[in-house]
Amino acid sequence: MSPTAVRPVRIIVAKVGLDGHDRGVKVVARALRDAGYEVIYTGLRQTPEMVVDAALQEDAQVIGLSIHSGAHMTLFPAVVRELKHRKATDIVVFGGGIIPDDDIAALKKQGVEQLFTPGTPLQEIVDWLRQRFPDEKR
Amino acid sequence: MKVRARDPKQAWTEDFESSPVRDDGIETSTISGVPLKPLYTSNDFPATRTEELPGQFPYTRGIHPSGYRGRLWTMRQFSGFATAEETNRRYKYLLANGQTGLSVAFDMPTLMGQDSDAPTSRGEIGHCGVAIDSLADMETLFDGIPLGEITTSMTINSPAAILLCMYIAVAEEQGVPASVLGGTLQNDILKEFIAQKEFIFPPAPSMRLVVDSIEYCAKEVPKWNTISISGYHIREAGSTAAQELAFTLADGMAYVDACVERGMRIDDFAPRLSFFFDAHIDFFEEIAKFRAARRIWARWMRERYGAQDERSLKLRFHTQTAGVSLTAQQPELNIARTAIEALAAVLGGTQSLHTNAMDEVLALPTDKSARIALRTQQLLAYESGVANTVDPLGGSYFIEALTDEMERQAETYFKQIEDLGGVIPAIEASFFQKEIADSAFRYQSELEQKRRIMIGVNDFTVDEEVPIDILRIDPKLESEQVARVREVRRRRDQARCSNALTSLRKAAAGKDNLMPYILEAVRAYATEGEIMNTLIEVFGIYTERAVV
Amino acid sequence: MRALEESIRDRARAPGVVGFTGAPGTGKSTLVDGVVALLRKKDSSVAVLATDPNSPFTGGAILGDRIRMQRHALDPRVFIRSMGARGHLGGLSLATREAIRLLGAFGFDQVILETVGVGQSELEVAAVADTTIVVLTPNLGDGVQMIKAGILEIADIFVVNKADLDGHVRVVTELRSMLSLAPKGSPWKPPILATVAAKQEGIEELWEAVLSHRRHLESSGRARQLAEQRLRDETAEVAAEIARDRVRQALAEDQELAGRLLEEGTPYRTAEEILDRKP
Repeated sequence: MSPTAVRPVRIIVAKVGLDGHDRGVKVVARALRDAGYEVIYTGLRQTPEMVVDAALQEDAQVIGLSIHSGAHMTLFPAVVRELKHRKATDIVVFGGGIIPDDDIAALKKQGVEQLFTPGTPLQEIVDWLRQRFPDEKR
Repeated sequence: MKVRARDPKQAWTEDFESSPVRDDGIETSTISGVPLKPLYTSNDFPATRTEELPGQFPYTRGIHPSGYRGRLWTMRQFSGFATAEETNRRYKYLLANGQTGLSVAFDMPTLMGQDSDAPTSRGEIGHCGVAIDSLADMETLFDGIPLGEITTSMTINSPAAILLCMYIAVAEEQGVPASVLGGTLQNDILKEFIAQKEFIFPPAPSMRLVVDSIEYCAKEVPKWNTISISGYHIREAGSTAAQELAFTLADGMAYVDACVERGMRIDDFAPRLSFFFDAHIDFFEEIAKFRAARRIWARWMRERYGAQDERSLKLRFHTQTAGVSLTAQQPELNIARTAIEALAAVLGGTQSLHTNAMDEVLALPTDKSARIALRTQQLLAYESGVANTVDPLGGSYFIEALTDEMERQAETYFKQIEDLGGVIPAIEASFFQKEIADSAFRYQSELEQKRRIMIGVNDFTVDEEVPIDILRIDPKLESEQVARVREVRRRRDQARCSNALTSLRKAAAGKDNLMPYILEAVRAYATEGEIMNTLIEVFGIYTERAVV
Repeated sequence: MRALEESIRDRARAPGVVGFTGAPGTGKSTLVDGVVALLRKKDSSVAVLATDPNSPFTGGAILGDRIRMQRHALDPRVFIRSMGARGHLGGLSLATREAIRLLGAFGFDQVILETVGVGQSELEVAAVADTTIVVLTPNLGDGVQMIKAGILEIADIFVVNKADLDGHVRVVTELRSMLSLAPKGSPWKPPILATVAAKQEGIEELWEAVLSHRRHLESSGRARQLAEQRLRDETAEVAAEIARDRVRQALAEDQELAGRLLEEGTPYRTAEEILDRKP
């Protein structure tokens, strides 16, 4: 494989836990595709193990998690812990949903890099990804 | 110079064309994309049109001749708390203050048919409602509340039959016969496959359970509204108004088909079917949607199903103002939004209404914001005068044209669904899900391009702290609930429970109505998870074919 | 890539490779999911390489095959990699061939390729897979006539999926008549099978046909022939890719060269000049 081959940033987006509200995650998936990323939506009712395993198989650089059920303080850190367990801490985790400021601060301390709350324009998510992964050609 | 008199309509057209046009780039179509003319006149309202009247087929103008002059809509605010005990306290408080209708919100594990001690329940207990694992929790929930004197609405779908049986069992213990119980069960599994995704079993056995509950209640619990056929969740998932209308009514017809196939007579169950719609922010479109809904349902019930009883033809609905229209930014604006949406529901003739509190994007509502939400309805009912005339917008060129357009769009969807073989084949072909995902994305794109505005979000923003605050669930609560369910399992009559589950499994594999078997299992303190797992053994678990 | 090639050479163990191709909406992913389930029942390990097209404008893609195979999540003997076609003209990226060797080195018994039948992707699959399966469905609109001619030549097995729909018999009949008109080249007669992947029907028979095809490849000597031809083709492809990159890099770095190219309009001479240079 030649050194200058294009290598899009690959992103797993998933809904963890029992919550089935998938409007947001689907809209984000499309927006990321339109921004040039390769997106793999792994569906509803994912466990942290399933999400991380998929990210490893797919050689994804990013995991995006969506939750609206209030269970983010249990499930997001569980994903980060699983990444540590699978020795894949280079994978970046971000999330979206109804998440209070205190929780955002706590989650960031636990390794979730960025959290997007209601009303965030899609462009903001894309801009963040672009500055986070500037070198990957798309 | 003699000025020749112009034809007024022609004159208006000329004047309009030479008038300035706003150039802010904002869409002039409805939020659902229905193009709107700048003006509607008698040209849009042919003289040959038959005049419609409230209380008369097809009920476009309302199902009661007296509208709100006869009786105001029910002000029914949905609410939920984490524990059965806390909720029980709140219920008693509300009843003491004159409320006669209760509403139960359940937590995620309960909605998904899981016990609190299931591994996938961790972190999910109590966040969006009360945890009910067994009859014991239900007894606590309604302790000291006379079920014979109030009505209760239970918002639950896949495990709905189980919760209904628990309610019946608690009533039994109070000495209240099922025949006097009144309330509503959401029990609308089709919209789960389409939008909310709280399904467990595949479509066919899920439908069987719904029909079992309708059939059972028709005989044993005749005052109970067995199903609340919902468009709210479909709309919140991103559909347009026309899609909400069409998909909901199509679901309704699918349930009717299933009941008729079971051998029930239409007039035996159709009067107890009820609906649940969204009231979104595009004011006139919503009013037209509600009016079209009544007209379409009445026609189909009479023409396709041959319903004779007037009550089978009259579409009754509850409305909730749109959660997705609320913003976290400048949340006070949500009071105004909710008022507009509530007004649309009232002008659309809703039977009952829930108005959102302004801080619901951020948190469980405070007492004050919950009170404002209720007062908003009271303002409409008692101060604004809109309740004094039945269907006040009837006869408006615009509203009638838009009502007709909604009906037309719905009929187009009905044809597409029929071509796919019906609602369930359409679900399996991901038809609804794709329409919804497309609409959601289209709307978001319009927002990002500022062709539609959400004040505080993409325009008229202010620099502010957005204080998102959620209900903090005490971690003790989770461990207590886990201990409680384990205790119930320990203390019950094991033989009775085990026999009940065995009988249920056998019946599930056969064709019997499952309600009596579930009732027995519930009485034997089988847990919700155990009952669901027994059914899963027979029915299997459904995995959706997701489309993005 | 050289280093990788060297490191796995000694562990190379060629897995069986089956390719699925066909128009969007024919249910390929569901079919592959069914085959994976069957293989797992037989205790085989299986890797799936599924390709979806990238947008030619943005380069992005939603890779939607994995989600159709959720029941195999967390099964350590199932590996799924979703790939974007990434502008490789054929639709299947060059990395696929090396990926197959790697997967073999890691001990996977079977590799399944899956790709949408756009552009020339059927040919690409056929160039890499031992057995190529073309998937069709009854609701094909204008019928089998619409199928590109190339498919008839490359298919080792035809599958008419969603066989419970109306029109299934017609598709099979039309296909059969088209095949009978095709020139008789190879001794292998591609069977036409019916499946209803959503109900796991016809999957056993499908796998039987795959095994039967493999036995034919061995016994006829075709397997060896193909293996040789493929290595040659791949070498040429890799060379082309290397050359392509060298030329782009040279033109990017050497302003004088690029300037001359623009002035004189001589791509052939410029290319040869670049390739003659020491890398």
